[in-house]
Amino acid sequence: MSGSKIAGIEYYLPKKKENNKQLKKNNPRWDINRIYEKTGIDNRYISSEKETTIDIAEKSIKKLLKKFPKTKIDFLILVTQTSPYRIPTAACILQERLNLPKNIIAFDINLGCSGFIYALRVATAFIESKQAKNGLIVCADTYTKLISKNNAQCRPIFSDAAATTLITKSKKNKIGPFELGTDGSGYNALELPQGKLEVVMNGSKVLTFAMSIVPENVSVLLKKIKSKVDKIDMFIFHQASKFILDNINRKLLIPKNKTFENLSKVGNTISASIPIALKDASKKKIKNNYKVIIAGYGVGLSWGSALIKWQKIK
Amino acid sequence: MKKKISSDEIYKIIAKILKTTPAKVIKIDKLTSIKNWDSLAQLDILSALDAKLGNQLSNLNDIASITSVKKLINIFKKKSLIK
Repeated sequence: MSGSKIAGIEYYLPKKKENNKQLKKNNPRWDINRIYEKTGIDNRYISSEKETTIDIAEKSIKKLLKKFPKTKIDFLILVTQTSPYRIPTAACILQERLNLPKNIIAFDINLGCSGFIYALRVATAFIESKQAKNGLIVCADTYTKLISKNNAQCRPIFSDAAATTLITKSKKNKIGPFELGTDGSGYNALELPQGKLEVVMNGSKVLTFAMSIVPENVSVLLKKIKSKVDKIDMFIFHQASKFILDNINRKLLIPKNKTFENLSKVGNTISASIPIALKDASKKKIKNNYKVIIAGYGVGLSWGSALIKWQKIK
Repeated sequence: MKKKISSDEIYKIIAKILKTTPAKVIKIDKLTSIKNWDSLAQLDILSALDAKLGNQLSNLNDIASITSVKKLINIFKKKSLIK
């Protein structure tokens, strides 16, 4: 059986930023300090009117392809919930735009904040089964197109971004095991109701779900790998909000020096949040051979976690 | 040993978060009727109670929407979490 590793990560953030001052200007009644205290988010990135999810995905892929030959890419998995096309699959459009090989496996995964973990599982399965040697996971979303400026639940949190992760074959396996889960009874905790153009979130439902499920999910993974919090070097969780991260860390008794947060400057970037956090953390906090647990959770409700043995990335 | 909480401690925790007095929390009972309550405060209350109980509120969704303190105490009683 072939192993796999994360060999590179690149991300793209739209040029336009929206900070909390601007948020307050648009919504004078909002208590911005209190919102910041809970979300931990000051900046969000907003895609321009003409900039689609496919556009930002393309930009992040191009950054990565400067470091790796496109002819060697065997698969492209696009994780998105905001494709400008219901038909066809947006990954096919990216194959054409980037002139990627025609024998490539290309498809979309419709998942939100857990999407990177699920795509990572699929990618490693392709490599394990010798279906592929190298591939890209592209996490891209433009949620802000579906969130009006006065949507108090969503506007202070969500941010547009695209992140491309290169997964390659490795002599020693560096990714896994995984622990994945779903609870569709919470489908309406975060949804774009049929026929509507505005994302609706039940904040309490999402928060309590994350506080309950994530610690449990990570505990099961730790048990699976016969390890404990003190044996793991770093925990990188989906950057949902400061309140959620603080509560997950509290419940799992994770010391502050083993956690990473970048949500203040980038916001909650849905499925791109874990690869963006990994890339940012790799500059200072994650060292070679670190054991890192990553966990994603959100819309669906859907969740997953995985162990990564970190190797320096491109 | 399983951590427990007293009714008085619950009232004190809620009062502190809602910037009021335990007596007022007891009197009004319905959290949504207390001036400083909102959905974020509700989460602060749940988080603080969970911390006090040593992370025992595993299924927080059960109690996330409860806004009556009496109902909350009754649920805790059923879970044997009241001193």
